[in-house]
Amino acid sequence: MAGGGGKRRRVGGGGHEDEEEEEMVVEEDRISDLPDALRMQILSLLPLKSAIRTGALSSRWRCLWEQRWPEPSSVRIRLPPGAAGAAARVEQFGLIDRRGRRRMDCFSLAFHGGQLTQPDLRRCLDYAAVCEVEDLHLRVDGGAGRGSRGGGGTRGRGMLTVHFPVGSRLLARLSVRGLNLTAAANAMVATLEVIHLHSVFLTDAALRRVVAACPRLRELDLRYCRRLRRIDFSAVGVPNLRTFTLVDCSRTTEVRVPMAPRLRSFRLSGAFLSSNILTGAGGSLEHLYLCSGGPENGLPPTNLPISVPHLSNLSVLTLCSIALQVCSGIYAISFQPISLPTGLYTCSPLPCSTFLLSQLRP
Amino acid sequence: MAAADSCDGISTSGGGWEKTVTLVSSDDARFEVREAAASLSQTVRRMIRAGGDGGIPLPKVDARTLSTVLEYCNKHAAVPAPAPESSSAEAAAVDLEWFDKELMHVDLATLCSLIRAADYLEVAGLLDLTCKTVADMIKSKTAEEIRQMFGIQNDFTPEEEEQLSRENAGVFE
Repeated sequence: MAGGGGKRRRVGGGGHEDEEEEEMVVEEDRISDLPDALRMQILSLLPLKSAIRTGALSSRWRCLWEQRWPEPSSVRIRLPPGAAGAAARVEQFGLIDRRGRRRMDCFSLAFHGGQLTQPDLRRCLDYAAVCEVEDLHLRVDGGAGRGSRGGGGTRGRGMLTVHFPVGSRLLARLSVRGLNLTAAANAMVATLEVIHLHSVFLTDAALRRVVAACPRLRELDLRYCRRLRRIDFSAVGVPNLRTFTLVDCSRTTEVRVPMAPRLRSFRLSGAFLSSNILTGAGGSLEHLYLCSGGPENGLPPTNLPISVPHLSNLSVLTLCSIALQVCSGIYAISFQPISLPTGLYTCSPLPCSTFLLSQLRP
Repeated sequence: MAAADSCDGISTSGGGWEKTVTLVSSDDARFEVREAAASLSQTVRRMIRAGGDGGIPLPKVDARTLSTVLEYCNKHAAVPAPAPESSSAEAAAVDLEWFDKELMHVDLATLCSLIRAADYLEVAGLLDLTCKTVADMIKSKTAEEIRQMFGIQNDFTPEEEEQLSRENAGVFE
């Protein structure tokens, strides 16, 4: 092994083992000096999130990650309503065929009710899966709730179905809107961190199976999922859940989350319900949003305000509307334990830094 | 194995039990290598086919880097198709993995030289290994930690910085 390493190394060549410590101090930016093709090769080995983060390193890394797969690295299919949709469908599906089976960052598919058949949807999902997509967004507009009148209770006639898991080995974020969702038992999607479901028809059991399949689930966002009645994660556990949002799942009467050790944010909008989520979250909650609006016929009993004393790390608390009229004295219960010394409007040396209270009086 | 001065390009040596070639680094160090090992480099393989005397010149790789590359090639070409008996094949795979891991215990400058060399020499396995090593260093670190580790200068203006953090609001969670 001849010398000659001197010019490449700050500390001379030979006997390199014991110099490893010193080498940690780097003054030359050798990584950025690598040709783009090589840096892209490195970026292609990173999960999407880490890859995006490298865009913030310096100007030489700014947009490099976007080019790490051959173009296009993301596929967005959006079918306009009406006759134009059919033409767009042919064109966009042709694009998929030409693109071939290559890695893909993001696949989003938006269409209107009746434009695609179940086999069409299947084909798109299979394609996204072989391309090992990380972000998958599916959205059906107008006619999403066809046959289900305003997104009512049961599965709509003509609504297409997504079956979970969707198959991509690297799936990290999934959002679905306006579709049925079924779920296999005993699935495992170790990479999935974020799930958003909007106007999705799924059963309580299907939701449980989805959550059970995702040990790294960080964010769960459920909106207008009107088939859900009892959200119960007692048996499945949500060890990494940080954000949980529940908006107008109008038939839901109960949320059971006995242990959510990392839950930082809980947002509930819609009718109040019975829940143990606040005690389950212990001291980890920082952001709590409770909003019960709309003309509900008689509020269901709720135990949420009672749990407020457990929220020692809360920094943002938002309470809206009707609950405050009905549960008179709620702020006496809720704020005193956060130890506001002289009532609501003083908040100087306290963890509680923001209040939003609307409609205090009817 | 290094510095076999008298070796001519392609030769058979050591009783003809295996063919060797001589590679010449940018700083004129000569390495005699088994052809099977050297052929892991597509670049070298093409040059062997083209023929020529006096060793194969590799002007873009210095001796120190080349010796590491050859260490990799020798190891990975060492077992010519191990019998597919499950136990020994498995053991060989574990051994290779361990070897690769050890080989990657180098400083950053060496690692970058190896990436360039693997790319130039077209040693696919080594390019994968080195890039993966860097990727693993980057993974699950913040931008600031990565900058520090690699000595990258943050040259964004405050405005650009702000735009970035807006764009990436969800990512940096």
